[in-house]
Amino acid sequence: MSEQNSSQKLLEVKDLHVSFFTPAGEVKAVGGISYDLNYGEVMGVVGESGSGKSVEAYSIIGLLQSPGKVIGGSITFEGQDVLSFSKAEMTAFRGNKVAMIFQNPMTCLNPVYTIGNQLVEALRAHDKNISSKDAEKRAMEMMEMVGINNVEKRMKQYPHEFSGGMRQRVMIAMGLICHPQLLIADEPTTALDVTIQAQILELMKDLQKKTKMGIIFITHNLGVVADICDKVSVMYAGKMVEQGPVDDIFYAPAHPYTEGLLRSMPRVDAESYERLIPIEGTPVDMLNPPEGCPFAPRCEKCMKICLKKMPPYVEVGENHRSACWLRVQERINKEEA
Amino acid sequence: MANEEKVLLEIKNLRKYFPVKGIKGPGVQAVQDVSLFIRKGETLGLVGESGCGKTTLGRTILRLYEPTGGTIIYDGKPIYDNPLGPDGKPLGKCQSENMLPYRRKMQIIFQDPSASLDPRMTVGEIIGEAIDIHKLAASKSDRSDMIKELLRKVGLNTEHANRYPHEFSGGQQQRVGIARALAVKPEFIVCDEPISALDVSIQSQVVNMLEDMQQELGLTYLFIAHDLSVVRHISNRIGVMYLGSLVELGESYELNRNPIHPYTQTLLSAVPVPDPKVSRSRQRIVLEGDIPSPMNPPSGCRFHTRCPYATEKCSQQVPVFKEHEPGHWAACHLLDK
Repeated sequence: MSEQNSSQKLLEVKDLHVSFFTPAGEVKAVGGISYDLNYGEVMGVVGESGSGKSVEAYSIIGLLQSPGKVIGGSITFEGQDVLSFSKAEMTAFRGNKVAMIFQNPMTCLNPVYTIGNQLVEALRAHDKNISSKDAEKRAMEMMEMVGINNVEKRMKQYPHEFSGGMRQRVMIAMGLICHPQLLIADEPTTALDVTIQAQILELMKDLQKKTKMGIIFITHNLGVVADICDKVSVMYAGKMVEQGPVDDIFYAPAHPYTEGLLRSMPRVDAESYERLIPIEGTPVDMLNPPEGCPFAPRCEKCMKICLKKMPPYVEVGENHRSACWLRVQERINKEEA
Repeated sequence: MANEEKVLLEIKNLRKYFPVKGIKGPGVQAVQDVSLFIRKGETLGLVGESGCGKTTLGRTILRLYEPTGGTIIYDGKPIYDNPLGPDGKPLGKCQSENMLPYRRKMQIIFQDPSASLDPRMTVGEIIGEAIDIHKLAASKSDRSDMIKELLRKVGLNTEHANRYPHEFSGGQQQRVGIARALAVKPEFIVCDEPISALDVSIQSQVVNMLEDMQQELGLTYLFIAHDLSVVRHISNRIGVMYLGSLVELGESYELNRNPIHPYTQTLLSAVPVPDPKVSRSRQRIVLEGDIPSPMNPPSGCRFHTRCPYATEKCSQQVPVFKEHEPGHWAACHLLDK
């Protein structure tokens, strides 16, 4: 994206640590991740279930629930320290500056209130001075913007009268009604069918162009990432193992986990049959994570050091970094030569 | 490919309606007169959006749901025969076989592995139950040998027989589900979205295992999924369903290269491709609107309300499902010129 303010930082996350203190012990759900997001940029966060991608997003918007706790690092949004916000400041921040849409729109909408009611409520929660007439008008405009027809009738309907795709459109309208600068989308298309998913992705791309907001798009679907994102963070067991521009991640992956993910997926445009190459083993038990690199037990290129120490980040290209001892080794070899 | 092999399963005009209380008429028309055949040793993929009746079709073939009309022929013998009369209604002279011997030959693997395993039975009991019902083991030691052999086959340890389902990860639970299906040495397995509930890195492990089992045991699969790229990978032929009807059927690579039904074309273009350059360059056909209700399906061609090429004829006449090129079937008026 090359908008005029695209070089400005919207969000900066530095060395974020989030843990859940469960009766069975501490679960380090997010173990030190850092990234920047500029205005008008779409960042994809990919990873398996339990890799900490949602937890990380919840801590930005202050929705982390007990026993989860941010135990280290910083989150800076437009120069403000999000983690130091008081409860009132957080409430003002949430919805106004940052909005979130979730995987299952049915559980996010209140079944006993009309859609119009809920949209107006979202608006009035942040703008106490707006008259109910104006609020209703804005709600209807938003619904039109996300492609819902017959707005006046639809405003008076209840969530169960909407289909899955339409509900997700309502959620997007609700998220955007206060014109946030950052939208966090947590698997917004996972529960939808492919043709409906295509509609929602087109809508989000369209709205993003119009509003120039930043989007954090959490998904496990690499096809969706290729479609909508400018850059990608790959997460594994709470660590960000690789981060870079979308083309680099897909054409020059620099971490064995990313390589493995790309190789293990059948492609709909493949010309002939090729056997899949799976990543062997099972995902990490987060209560007893392995020492060193969390991916090491499943990595075919695992070395001795991988089992002992977490590798540092190595810049492998412009804005492209990877946490893998192989890259460290390459770097040392290069310097020696 | 099993091109000249004999046909193992054939269905003719299979129909399944679910009556709805308090509403006159046929109720939910989940499967509408579907005809197809599956050759011995092949994998037939079935794709479509949620609610298109693909799972219902799979279960009706196994007579887990009693069909409303039509014919199911397994290995040359009709196991359900209630052909449609000239007025399109089943004749009602239903002829049906005792299913128990067929249950040994026809098995199913379910989508959600945790919901389809009894939480109060050990894995050994779950697999052993099938062996007991069909009296396949001559002695106790024979039975436990069979269970161990099955666990080894699906990549689990023999000690796992004494554990309960909750002690396993999703991928391992699915392996137990597969072992249970294989316990009775079936010939034909309905795989109902066997990998949708699994993590990306585990999906390819299970796909490869299903392929190995097919090679080793000469199994025939009906593979139901909504993920077109996986279905294309594993299937010899693919059938596409929309709102209860089969709209297109063909060799899997032919169908992908040259889809002739407008719905298949849309579905293929909506699948996200994990390749940013392809994603940016390709034209996506975005369908308007949602799937109509199967309680009150559109007249004529069921797709005509969303089809970009629909003509008046499409809303009046039901298109005939016929062979347009050798092995490539479709139901569309546009192809009749």
